[in-house]
Amino acid sequence: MDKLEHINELLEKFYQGATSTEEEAELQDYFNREKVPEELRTDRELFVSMASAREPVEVPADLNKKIISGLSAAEHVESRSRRIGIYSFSALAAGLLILLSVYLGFLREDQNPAMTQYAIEDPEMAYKEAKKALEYVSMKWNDGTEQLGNLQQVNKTMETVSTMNKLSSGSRELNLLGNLRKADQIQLQ
Amino acid sequence: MKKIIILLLLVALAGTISAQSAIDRIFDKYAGKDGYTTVVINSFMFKFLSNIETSDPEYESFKSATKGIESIRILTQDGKGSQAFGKELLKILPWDEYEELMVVKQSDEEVVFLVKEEGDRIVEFLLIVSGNGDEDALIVITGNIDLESISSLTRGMDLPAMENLEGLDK
Repeated sequence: MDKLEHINELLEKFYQGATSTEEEAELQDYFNREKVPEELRTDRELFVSMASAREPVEVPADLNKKIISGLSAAEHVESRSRRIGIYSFSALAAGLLILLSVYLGFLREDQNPAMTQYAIEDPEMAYKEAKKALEYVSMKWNDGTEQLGNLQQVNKTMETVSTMNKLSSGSRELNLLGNLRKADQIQLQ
Repeated sequence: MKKIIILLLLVALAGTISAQSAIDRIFDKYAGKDGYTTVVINSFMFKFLSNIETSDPEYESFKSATKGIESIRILTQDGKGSQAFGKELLKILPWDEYEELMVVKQSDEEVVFLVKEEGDRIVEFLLIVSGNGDEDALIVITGNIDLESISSLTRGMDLPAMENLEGLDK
């Protein structure tokens, strides 16, 4: 009984991390050799596994290298995934921009979103209105060009006037010639 | 990153908003108001109209006149009392974007014909009638407009005698 009490005490100390190496060795010894009461079985398992773990493990010579390369590989994967994240984010943003501009472009293509409500949907009406509009344009256009036509008319008249002028100047010359001839005849007489 | 995206979005938005032209502004301001009539015939309708069966003897000339036309927008003032928009339009119109075809001034009415060109093609035709009276009008035709065939729509119409002469030729 005394022994068990002692062991319990040591265990308590051990779990608090306050045991010395001798005391730990004593515990180890106890769990290895003696039959253990039911209540200490879990403790025993711990100490047995600790005992087996205490056998020296061979450290591979390139452990350091392995760890470092493993770490850097992990880091590499992480940084790549982060870059992919940035790319996909900007791709998403670009896609949204394209969609938006297409949408807005579509609106502009349609002239004016507010104007579509005035669009005629009945073909007969549209035909009538279009015809009316074109005839209106046509009329106004011809009104304007008619004025030009009048100008051309004036030009033509001016031309006739100038030919008349020529005629009259010609006849004046004839007149002069006639006068000269008359003068000659008078001189001859 | 986020800031850049937001900036880009704002720039894109600002671009589309400021792209609204003087014409659009006039339409926005007067369309649907009392005293004004707005009519829009869009490209879909013109495509449809180029392919219909009709007994209208003028259909062929209509078809040739509308061959290159994509859309027509019309804004007219219906009567006295409503504000004449022609002057306002002539004031805010970006004249450097247009070529003047013809300006006719008659007493209190000014009729302006303008075209917008892209390369050698006419892409937009404007007829602005601005007066003090009751019939200001704005007609916007987009597409390649053939003025020759349009003017022949009514040529001789107000000169019945000429029409008869034309008939004799045929």
